[in-house]
Amino acid sequence: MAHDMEVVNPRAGLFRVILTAYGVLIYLFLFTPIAVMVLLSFNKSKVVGFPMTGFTLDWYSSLTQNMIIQDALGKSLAVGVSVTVLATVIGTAAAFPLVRAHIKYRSAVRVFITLPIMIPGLLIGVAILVLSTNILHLQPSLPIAVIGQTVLATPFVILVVSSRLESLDRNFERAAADLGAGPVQRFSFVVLPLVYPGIVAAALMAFTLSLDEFVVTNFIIGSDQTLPIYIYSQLKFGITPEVNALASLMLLGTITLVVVTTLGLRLIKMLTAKSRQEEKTGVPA
Amino acid sequence: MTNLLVEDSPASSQPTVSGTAKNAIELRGIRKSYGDEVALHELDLDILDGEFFCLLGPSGCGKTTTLNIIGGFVGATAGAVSVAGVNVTKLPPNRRPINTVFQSYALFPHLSVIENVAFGMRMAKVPKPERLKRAQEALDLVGLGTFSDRAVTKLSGGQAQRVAVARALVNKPKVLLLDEPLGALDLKLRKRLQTELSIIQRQVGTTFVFVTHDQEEAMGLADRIAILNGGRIEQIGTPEEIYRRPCSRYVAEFIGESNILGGRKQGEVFHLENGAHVPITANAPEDTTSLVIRPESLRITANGFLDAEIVSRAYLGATTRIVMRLSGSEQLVVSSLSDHALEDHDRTGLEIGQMVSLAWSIKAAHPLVEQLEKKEDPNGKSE
Repeated sequence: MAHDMEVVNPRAGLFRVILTAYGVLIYLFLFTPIAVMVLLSFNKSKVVGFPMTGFTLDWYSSLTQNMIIQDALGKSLAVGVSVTVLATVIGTAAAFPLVRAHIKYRSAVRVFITLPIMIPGLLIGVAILVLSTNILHLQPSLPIAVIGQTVLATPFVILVVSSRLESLDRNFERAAADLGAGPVQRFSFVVLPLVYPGIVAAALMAFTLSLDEFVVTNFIIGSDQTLPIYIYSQLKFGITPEVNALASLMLLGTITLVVVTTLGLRLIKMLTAKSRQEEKTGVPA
Repeated sequence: MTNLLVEDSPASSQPTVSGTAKNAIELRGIRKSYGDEVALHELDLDILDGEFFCLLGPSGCGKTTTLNIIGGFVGATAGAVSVAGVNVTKLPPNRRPINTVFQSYALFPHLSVIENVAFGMRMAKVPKPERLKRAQEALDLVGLGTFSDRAVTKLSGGQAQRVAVARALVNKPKVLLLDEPLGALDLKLRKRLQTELSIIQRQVGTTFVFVTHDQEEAMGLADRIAILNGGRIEQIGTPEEIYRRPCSRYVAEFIGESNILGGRKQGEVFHLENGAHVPITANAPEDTTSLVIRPESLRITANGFLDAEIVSRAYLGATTRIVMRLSGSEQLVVSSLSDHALEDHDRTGLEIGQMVSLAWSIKAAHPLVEQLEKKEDPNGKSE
């Protein structure tokens, strides 16, 4: 089948080679820095760089002893969870009117509501700092950082959920109404089950966004430290292998989160299919 | 299985067997406009209890709007809707005793076949064992008894359509609305499902209101048909009434094929525009403006009423279709059972260019009285 193209274009084979090589180059471009960082986190030498002098897990074990890092990790997770919950709830709630209300100039409203994505983080950071300290007289703190990150993450949630909502066939709701479902039942039995993959994806996005947010957070977090703030503070003393190890772990954490979520969604699907079977036969499998 | 819908409440859901025929649906003065655009003009319609009723018309005629107004998905600009004697004009769809089979079926993709069918009962808080039992019965009724655990996304078009019918009927609605439910299916499957639908309708006795643009489908399924045109009802009647006695040129041309001869009546003679004259029934109105003659009513004989020249001839299997030209330039279509065409006319051969004579039973020529304004305005906006 692939060879059919060669009848149309005699040079198709050559193009395929070029395209493959280009694809590989893009992967190298994207992931070489990360690969080097992960590799060096296992380097014995205290000096970060090649050649590697040997393999060690010392830097990882020293992380577990570092109370400051553990504190920063705790705060990162606390902020991350808060931001995820806030942004997901606010963003999902905003997506509904954006898609379904009869809004004049809908596309303008949409661009406007997602503007925080386009505005440089630096400006948002300064703006929130000015608003909180000079106007509201609130000192920079963890809760202010949560608010700042929520401002950043919510537009992404709105985009993801509203695109899912737009692709939802309104006939499902008409059918549900036809079958006797009131507005609340339509939402909980039809709309929510059909858009929740979008909501989960949006939540995941909000969490990862929060986990590595630095620019805005740095302005408004005050004396507390999340992991990115901690890493930045360490850089003042030069890049240490410990920082490499920490960054590698964060990478692992992010990948794990994505994998777990994907598997989790699949598991839910499997379990509901299984419970259907049990209902049918009356015997738990 | 056959009494799926009558087991609990025989009084409310049985088709009318006695003379106390009542209306399942009454539309009174229904109007619908979108801004300046009028979709429906003052529509009055009675649909009898237990009948299979078709709303037929081309796209944009208002048939789907009418269905949506009955179902409660579209609000009428004016007028009232009653279902089984109860005014439901102000009720939302979920509070009307009506269920719908949607054109796209709209089966919930996150639920299995049986969960889809049981959805209405779940909303009505029917206990689980009972709703599963009744859903299974409904699936048996549409011949999908073994499909209950399938994902709806894995169904073929015909299966999905049947699940949609089961999902609607299981709730024992007073009226079942069907919005072009066979439109997406290929011809063979369509024919089979038409037969199945009409069998199911007779079994359950529920009033069916069926929207279609396919006149053959409407003729084959309906007890009565309403033909809509430009937001008005042109004619309501049984398939036979509509075919044999169309009330307008529009209906005559929309349903089947018609030869329409213009002219004027004088006693028992109808003078055609080209100068010829043909007989006309005595009880035709004096101001008859045209005669409708179906192709199969025309016969080629030795000495008929009209002379015509054969323009083309096509053998279509069961029938042979012959196009004739009258003096003047009007064309007539004759459709004749192929066997007869051959038997009667081998000697003459029916060759193209040949002059023949046409006759018909006088009763088969249906008189039409057309308004002059109507001819000028083909959309029929002659207020």
